[in-house]
Amino acid sequence: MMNTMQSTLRTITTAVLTLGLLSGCAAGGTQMPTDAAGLTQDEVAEMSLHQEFDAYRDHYEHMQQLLRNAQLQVHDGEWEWGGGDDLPGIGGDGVAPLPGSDTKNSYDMSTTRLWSPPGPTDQQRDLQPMIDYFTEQGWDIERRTITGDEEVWATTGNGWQIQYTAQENGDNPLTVYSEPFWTNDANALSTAIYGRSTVKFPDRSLPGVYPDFPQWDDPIINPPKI
Amino acid sequence: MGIEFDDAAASRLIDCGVEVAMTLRASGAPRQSIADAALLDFDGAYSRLFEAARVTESQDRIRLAKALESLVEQLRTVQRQADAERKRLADVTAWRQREADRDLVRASGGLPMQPVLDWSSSVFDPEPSGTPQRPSPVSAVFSARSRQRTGGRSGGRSGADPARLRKFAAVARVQDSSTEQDLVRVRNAWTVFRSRCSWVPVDGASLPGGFADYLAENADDASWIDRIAGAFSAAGGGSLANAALDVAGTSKLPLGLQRLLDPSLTPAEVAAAWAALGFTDADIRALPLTTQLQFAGLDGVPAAQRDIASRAVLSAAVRDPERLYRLMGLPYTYGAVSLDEFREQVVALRDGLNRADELATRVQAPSVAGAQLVGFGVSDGSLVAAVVIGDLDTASNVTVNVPGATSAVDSMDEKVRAANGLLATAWKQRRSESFAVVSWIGYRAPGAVEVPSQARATAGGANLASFLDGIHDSRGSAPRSLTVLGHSYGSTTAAEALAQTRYRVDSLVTYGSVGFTDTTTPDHLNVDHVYATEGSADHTAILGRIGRTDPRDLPDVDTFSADDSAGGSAVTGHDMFPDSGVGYLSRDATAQQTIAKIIATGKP
Repeated sequence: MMNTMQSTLRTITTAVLTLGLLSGCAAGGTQMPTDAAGLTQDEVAEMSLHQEFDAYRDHYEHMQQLLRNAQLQVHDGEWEWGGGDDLPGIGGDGVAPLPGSDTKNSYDMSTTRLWSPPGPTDQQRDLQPMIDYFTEQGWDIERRTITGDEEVWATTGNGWQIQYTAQENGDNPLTVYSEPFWTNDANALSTAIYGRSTVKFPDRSLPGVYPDFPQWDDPIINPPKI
Repeated sequence: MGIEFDDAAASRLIDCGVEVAMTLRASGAPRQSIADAALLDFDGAYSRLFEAARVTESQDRIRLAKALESLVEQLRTVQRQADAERKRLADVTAWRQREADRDLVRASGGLPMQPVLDWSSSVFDPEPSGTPQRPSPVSAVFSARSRQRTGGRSGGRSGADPARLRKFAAVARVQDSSTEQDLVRVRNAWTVFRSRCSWVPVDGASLPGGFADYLAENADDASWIDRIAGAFSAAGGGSLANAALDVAGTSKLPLGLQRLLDPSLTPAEVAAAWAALGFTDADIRALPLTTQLQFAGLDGVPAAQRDIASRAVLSAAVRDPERLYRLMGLPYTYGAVSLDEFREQVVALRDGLNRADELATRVQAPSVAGAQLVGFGVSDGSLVAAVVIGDLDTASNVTVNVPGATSAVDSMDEKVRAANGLLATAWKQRRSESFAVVSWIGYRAPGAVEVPSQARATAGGANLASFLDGIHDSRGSAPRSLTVLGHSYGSTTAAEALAQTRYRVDSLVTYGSVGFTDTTTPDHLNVDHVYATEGSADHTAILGRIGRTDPRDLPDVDTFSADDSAGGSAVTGHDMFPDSGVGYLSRDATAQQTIAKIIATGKP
């Protein structure tokens, strides 16, 4: 009798749990994770490589604007480039989570410039104008310290993050990161951009100055070597 | 006062000698078997020359094994003698201390006590022997015999099946490439022994050179048989006059190139031979594919020229995988990648290299914006390659990243992305520096079940030591900073290498290490600093540490965190650079940022 009751109870509990889990899954299923542009993976699946290329171009221009505005808060002279910034970065491990993303189906973007304030190093003094700017914009701010370098991070809330670091060695790099974007093929997108790129980046430039991003109709000038 | 005798260095040479002698003896049967197969349908004076060369090779191999075994016995004897001498020296020191104590008693007790004390000390505590134990001289002697390869004076004709001859040459090369690793190990262990055990006199030291000569003779045999096979093929079958075979069998390579391709050369000798050759880039492009394949694997040749040869070989492998699979001797290698795996791996390596080319063009000056393929070939039946972001010939700051178990060249895409991220992070720390980061998949990494064994690390360590020394020798000077990174089993392999390198490395960084053996602890490594890290969420590394020591537990190893920090994320598992989740070299990982700082500045 006792065993029968336990068995019935177990059956009911299992049914309730199963129902709960299934309804939870169904509810979760209607909320597909969206990327830094607010798109789901299914929506990006409808896009051609050409459309992804054009969207990427828009993201690139936006990234440069964010960078320029932040640069001008601390230094309106020349900044060193941290390398070319036109190719998609590696997906799967972005500055923000995107459930289901990996190195093949997602990418992110970043651009880095660096300058060295004159005079003795004062990390707090260097960071303060940027903290004030991030605060004015209403962005979330986080302070970090790693191996002696002081950083401030801003999250814009619409897919972008900005990191400004006052390093122990007196160099101050500024990096703008995108959060992850979905793509149908990260390698194909990277190759499409690289193939059309003039691959000329300055060592130094003023804020807001950067080479033109290629157009889809530009000729392929950098085919793969093998 | 001690003696100049490092037990670990002697043990290392003993272990190496035992293993290599055993391998040499074990390779006799397979060699005999392929030679027998080649001799089917092979007749005339050339078959007799071939058989004579085979017999010489076989006898030399056994003589070499015996010379190594004899060396091992001598080393065991001197180890015992060193123990005895150390004990004697300790006894003498202790006795002198006791005698000094007795002197104090004598001084305080006065003359009446002296005879009693003298009598009791001579009976109960006699002075230990003052005669030092002399070590027996060690003799490491072996010389290879040269082999005759022309027989034209016989005036007759010879016949053979060219396919059988080619198979012999391919299998012999595969076997010899493994023996080349053994030569590197013996040579390195011998050098370390000589420098750390100067207490032991050495009577003869021709063994390493003789070992190299034996391999050079084997390489000449394989090339000779290839040329003979080519002559039979060109003739369309049937027999050929011995005089015609004499002409065909004579090497067509110029002497300088023959010298460069001698498989027994050290990286320094390769660098000297390369400099003497005076080849241009166009000359390398014009070489036949078989020569380019040999050239691609030469440590000591500048990276720019290895890149040309390596890309030519990879390009041919993508176009015609069957041909390259045969050319590399893989159909005849036990445990080698299958043809299907070969096809997939060369395409994946090509994609990884193309990705490196793309990413490298965005590298900031003064680093050179380019990628290099420095080596593409086979080791122990696996495809091996190394891809550089930057310029290995000129960079002032060089990093070599060694991956762990189950890594193969098809993961090069992931490795070069990780390398690119490291370079970008390191640049922020020292932007005056020109960086080059090498993703080195230059050994047959073990499968998961092979991790407890040291065998793959031993073979891979010899390859890596040669590669690292080759960086110095090809440039003619050291980079300002040279860092070696070892992930998981790659750290075990890196430690094996750094116990052998001729040139000192600035830093070794292990992450998620499966451990060091007793003879690869930091005091035995040719490195200034050893750093180690492991994440709390990495539950895999410990499983591989059976019989090995976690480097974090060793003295002289500085540790750093791979967990969450104010500036970075914790690793979520054991991976270097996973598709999803956080690996040790993922961009936002605490470990990656700290490793990049060590690369740039030499400290965390």
